[in-house]
Parts: sequence; structure tokens; C-alpha cells
Amino acid sequence: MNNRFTFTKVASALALFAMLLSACGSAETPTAAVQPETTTATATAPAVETPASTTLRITIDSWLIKKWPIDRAAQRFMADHPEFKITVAPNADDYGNNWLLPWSQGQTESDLMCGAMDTTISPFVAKDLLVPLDDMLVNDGKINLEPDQFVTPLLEASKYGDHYYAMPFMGEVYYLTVNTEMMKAAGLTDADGKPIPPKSLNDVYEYAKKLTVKDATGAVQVWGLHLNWAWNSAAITYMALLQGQEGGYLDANGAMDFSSQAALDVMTFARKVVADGYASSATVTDENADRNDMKAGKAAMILTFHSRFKEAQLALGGTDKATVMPWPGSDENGSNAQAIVCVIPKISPAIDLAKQFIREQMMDKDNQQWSANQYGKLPSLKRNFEGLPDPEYQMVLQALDKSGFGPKFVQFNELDKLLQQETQKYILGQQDLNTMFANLLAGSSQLDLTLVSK
Amino acid sequence: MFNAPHPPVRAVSKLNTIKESTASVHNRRHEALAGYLLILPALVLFFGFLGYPLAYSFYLSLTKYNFVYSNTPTWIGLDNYIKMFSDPQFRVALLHTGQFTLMFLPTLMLLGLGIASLIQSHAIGGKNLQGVIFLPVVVPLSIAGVMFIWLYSGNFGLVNFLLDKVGLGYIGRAWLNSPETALPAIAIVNLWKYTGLSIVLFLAGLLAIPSELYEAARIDGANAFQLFIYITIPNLKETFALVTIWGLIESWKVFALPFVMTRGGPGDSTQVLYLYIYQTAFKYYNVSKAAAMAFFLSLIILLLSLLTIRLMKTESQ
Repeated sequence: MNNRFTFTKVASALALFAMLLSACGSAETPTAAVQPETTTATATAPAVETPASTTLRITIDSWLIKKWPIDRAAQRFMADHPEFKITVAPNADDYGNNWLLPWSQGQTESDLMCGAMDTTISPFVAKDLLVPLDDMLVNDGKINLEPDQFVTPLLEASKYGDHYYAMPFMGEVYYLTVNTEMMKAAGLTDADGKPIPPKSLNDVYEYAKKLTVKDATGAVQVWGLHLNWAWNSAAITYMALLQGQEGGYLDANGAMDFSSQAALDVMTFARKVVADGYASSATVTDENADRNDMKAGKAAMILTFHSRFKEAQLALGGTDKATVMPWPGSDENGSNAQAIVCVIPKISPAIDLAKQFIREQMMDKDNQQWSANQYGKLPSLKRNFEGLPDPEYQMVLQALDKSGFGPKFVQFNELDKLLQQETQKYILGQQDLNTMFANLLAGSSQLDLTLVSK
Repeated sequence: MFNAPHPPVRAVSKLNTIKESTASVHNRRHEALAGYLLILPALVLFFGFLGYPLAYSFYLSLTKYNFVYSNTPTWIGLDNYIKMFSDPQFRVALLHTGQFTLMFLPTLMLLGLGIASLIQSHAIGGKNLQGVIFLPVVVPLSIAGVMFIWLYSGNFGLVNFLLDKVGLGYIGRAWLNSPETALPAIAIVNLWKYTGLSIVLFLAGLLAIPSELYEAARIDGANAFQLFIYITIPNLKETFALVTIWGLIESWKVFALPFVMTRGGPGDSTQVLYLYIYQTAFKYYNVSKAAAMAFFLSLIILLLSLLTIRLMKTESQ
């Protein structure tokens, strides 16, 4: 009797445990209601056909939820197409890396992932996880998405071999944001009160010197210049400086340029302006130090993503308080561009729906201009620049169109880290110029810098 | 007449004993089976979520496998374990983790024991103060990191402000930006976070020492220093072992603070082992190398913990 009772208890406990375990398993079927296959299989469709979903699950970098009208876009799309449902959730990781594992195991809770990824989609391309989007780059009579409609580097950043794997809907470019009043006070504006762009690295040095404000004890109150050497920006800064100086950042062998005169010049300048006390090095550990100092009136010039000028205008109290101007050479040679893109996983049951959403909402002029007007982010389509009220955009567009983007090296992440460590050591005076470049050459020679391909 | 013998009483008794014994064995088997069945869920969870991943990651550590760029793991034996020592990044991370441990652990012990002793002797105290001392323990480490980024700021940080107020403004700096001060600055945050717990452990140890020992020693003429050295310290051996092992684990697996506060910078001055393992696995996708380094780290912690226990045992003997 007692034994029977014990076994009943044990059996019940095991049954409960089994139910618990089964509840932990993933559902194979999509959560959304399904409808019969409505699209023909194309080169972009998954190998195994799955029923198309009427629900589109969008995941988007958390910072973009505020800076891109994604909720409004979802509402508009559902109003236009009541048969579909759109859900929006933030990405757990800003570069989408958290999707690599589930997607490679055939699981996804995202049909459309959007974020600041551009060339960081390389691992996804290498693992063949993304839908090629070449068939979207056409003029369907309603919306023209032919390649020449895009700001060139924003689209080219997602091209691997002959295929495009991401759709840019927003762009950024490294440019100088300046505090207009400080420039005026330092006599660095023209007769109309517009800042005069520096023509050379020496000019930038002199600008920084004039703009730096120190108190009686010598403590810096206002930094003349910030260059961003943070963990996520050091490589971008290096590439932007070289692009401005010589129109590219690769050497003749297609590797990162660590030996040209231009490379020596820009890094010599970067160290000197810090060592002499006219530029801050705070970004080595605080990636936001430059924009925070600019917004707090503690920095006169910052070389970073151009959209910071909009933040600065808001913080400093007016559109006349901050503007952009080109870094020496970047008006001619361009700078470093970053594309903010959408990608579609091959395992999504809503591939065509995702493409439709991109076409109708992510490329929409109203949506792209909202983001520009509110947060200074650039449209990805050239035609969407028309009508933007800020005069800065046309100037930035010209530079953006000539800009380079992150290289698609197999081991770019390792190179990125190497650049961060070595440039930071040099900027802080831990090593000299020759040692830095020797370390960069030695370190990069150990890496696989071939281009990623599918 | 030969009378058929009655079954002997002893035999009947034996038979009953055998029957009872059989039933008892049967019952015990049932109980044992029930016991095994009851621990089965725990065993399944253990092997499913701990045993199997550990075994698989150990297997990976013996292979060459990049999650993105390799098709399948290729067996290379101990190569990852051997080659990691020729990786300058690994050596730097190992050195910095060791330095961090040396900064953190002895200070943790001194502060923990010192403050616990002051509380026990009522030199400082009050439940409110004890609560305040313990408060950082419940603050999430990442939030503590963000908070201290602001405190350490060169421009408007509270640390520099206070230094200025007491006439030491000349030593103020951006504490996290300097390669010389970044790692100690992180160690201080770790101490702020964990000292409260070590105080609690030491306080529990101190309260467990019988007061008769102190009274007897006082009668024999021992002064406060002698009481501390000859009564308190020997009676806190278990606490020392506990705090040392826990502190070793906390310092060797330091990750969240460098990740939040410096990302290993400036340069590589706060690059620690766990951070490098994370980068290797999740930024470079080299999971086999990362697994090898993780097992190496576990081995270090295990050996240091065993050494601590052995030292404490030797002392006791």
C-alpha cells in the first residue's frame, strides 16, 4: 500500500517533469497563422518550402526603435494590408550576433532584422544564412529601387560577390561636428558666420589649439577636438582619417594600410594633438565621451558620425549652435560610411512579406526623412534627400557618396581589436609611432584578410 | 513409536525470518528504486544542462573549430592548450587577471576581517551601518560599473571633485583612461561590491569563536594583539578558506566590470582572461580556442582552491 502510494507520487512527479521538459522544447510550427504557399520559389527562397506566414516578426536594434519610426511604419503597413500582422521587438545585441546560432540551427523569432550591421553581416553571409536581395533592386513601377537610386557605399557595403544581402534604409558618415559659437569666438568663421573648414592636418591642429579653453590651473574646460578611439570606433576613425587623406585605407595588396606616408601623418597628428593638450583621449574607455562633451559645451570639434550635430543642436539650444564641416580631404575623398540595414534570414516563413515591408516602409520617403529631421540620420535613397530643410545634408551626402565602408575581411573583428589596442596605446603615449605600426603589421599578418564570400 | 517431529520452533522462526527478510529486501529495493526515480529529474537536468555541455565543450577544446568559417570540428588534440601560450593576447590577459587577483583578494580579506572585527567589538556598528555595508552586494555588477564610470570621470567625476576638496586635486585624472590606474580602479569597484559579503562571512566566523577562549587567554595575561593572533586567527581557518576560495573564483572570473567599464582598454591594460575568452568565442567565433582557455581558467581556479584547502589543513595539523 505504502509502496504503491510512493510509486504514484514518483510517477506523478516524473509525468510533471516530462511535461515541463516538453514545454521547454521549441515549437516547429510558426506561431503565426499560416496560409498556403503564395509565392514561387526563387533563388532567394529556402531550400525546403515552408508555408508563408501572415505575421512579420521584426527585430531591430534597441537604439533604432527611438530613432526610426518603426512602430508607425508597422501601423501603416497593417492599415494598408489588414491581412498581415507586424510585431516589433528589440534585438538583444546591437550587431545581431545573437541570431547566428539559432539561425544556423534553423530557428528564428525574427523574420526581418534591422540594425547597424553593414559589413558585420559577413559571418551571416559566410554561413549562408541570409536571403540575397538582388531581386528587390528593381523598379516595379511604383517604387524604384534600382541600384543607382541608392547612396552608393550604403548599398555596396552589403554586396558579397555578385549578390546583395542587406537593404540599407539609413546612413551615417564620419564628419566633423562643430560648436558654431565657439568657432565664431575663436575667429574661425567667415563673414556669414559659417565655420571655415580646415584644409590640412596642420589647420586642424591650429583650430584645436585656438578652441581649447583652460582655467588658471591649466585644467581643460573645453576640448578643442575629440577623435574617437573607442573600442567600437578606433578602426572607423583610422579608416576615416586615411580616406580623407588619400581616398582609401587599403594598401596595394588589399590589406589595411599601415605603412604609407598618409598613415604616418594622420597618426602623428592624432598623437600630437592629444599630447599637447588640445584633444581629449577620453573616448579610449568611454565611447560616448565626445558626443557628451559636445552636448555639454565642453568640446568644440568632434570627428564622429555626422548625426551628432543634430543631438548637439538639440542640447545646445538651436540649429545655429552646431553644424558639420568636412575633415581635411573628406569633401574630395570621402570619409567612412556606415549603413543601417535590414536582413532577412533564409529560414523565415515570411520572406516575401519581409521584402514587401522593406519596399513599402523602410524605403518610404516620409519615414526616412522623419529620421533625418529628428535625429540627423541620412536617407539611403538619394531622392529622399530632396526637401530636407537642414543645409548640412547636401554637403554630407556629397562626402557620403565618395566614402568607403568597413572591409569584408574574414578576420576583420580581430583586426578591429588589434587597431583599437595599438592606436590607444600610441595615443596615450605608451608606445611610439614605429612600434605601433610594427605591431599592427605583425599582428595583421597573422590574420586571414581574404574577403568573405558565401 | 516414532513420532513425526513437530516442525522445530527454530525452523519456523527461521522461515518467518526469511520471509520477512525477503519482504524487507523487496521493500528496500522498492525504496531504492523510488529514490533513484526521484533523483532522476535532477540527474537528467544535471547531465542535460551541465554534464553534456561540459563534455562537449571539452571535446571542442581538442578540435580546431571556428563556428562561422569551419564546416566541422577537426581533431587536433592538445594543440589549443599548447598554442594558447604563444598567443600574446592570452599572455597579457593571464598577466592582468593575476594582477587583478593580487589587488583584489588580499584587500578583500583585510577589509572583510578588519571591518568585521570592528563591528564585533562594537567599535563601529549599528544595524543600519551593517545594512549600508552590505548594500553594494545587492547592486547588479553592470550597474555598479556604469555608476563608477561617472564617478571616475576626469571632467566631472565625484572622485576628482572630492580629491580637489581635500587639497589633492593635483592627483586627479580620468582614472579609467590611464593605463596605470584603469585596472586598480576596476579592482576597487569589485571590492566595493564584494567586501560586504566577506564581512558577513568573517563576522559569522568571529561570533562562532567561544568567548571562554578569550577569557582564559586574558587570565593568562594575553593582550589584544596576542588574542587576535593566537585565538582569533586560528579559529577563523574555515572562514579564511571559504573567503579565499570564493575571492579567487570572483577575481579569476572577473568579466562584467571590464566589459562594461573599459572593454579591455585603454590599449590592453584591462584585458582579462574571461573577457578574452568571450571575445574569442563570440566576436571571433573561435569556439575551440575559447573552450580550451575556459578549461585552463577552470584548472587554475581548481588548483588554487585545492592549494588553499591543503594549506589550511596543514596549518590545522
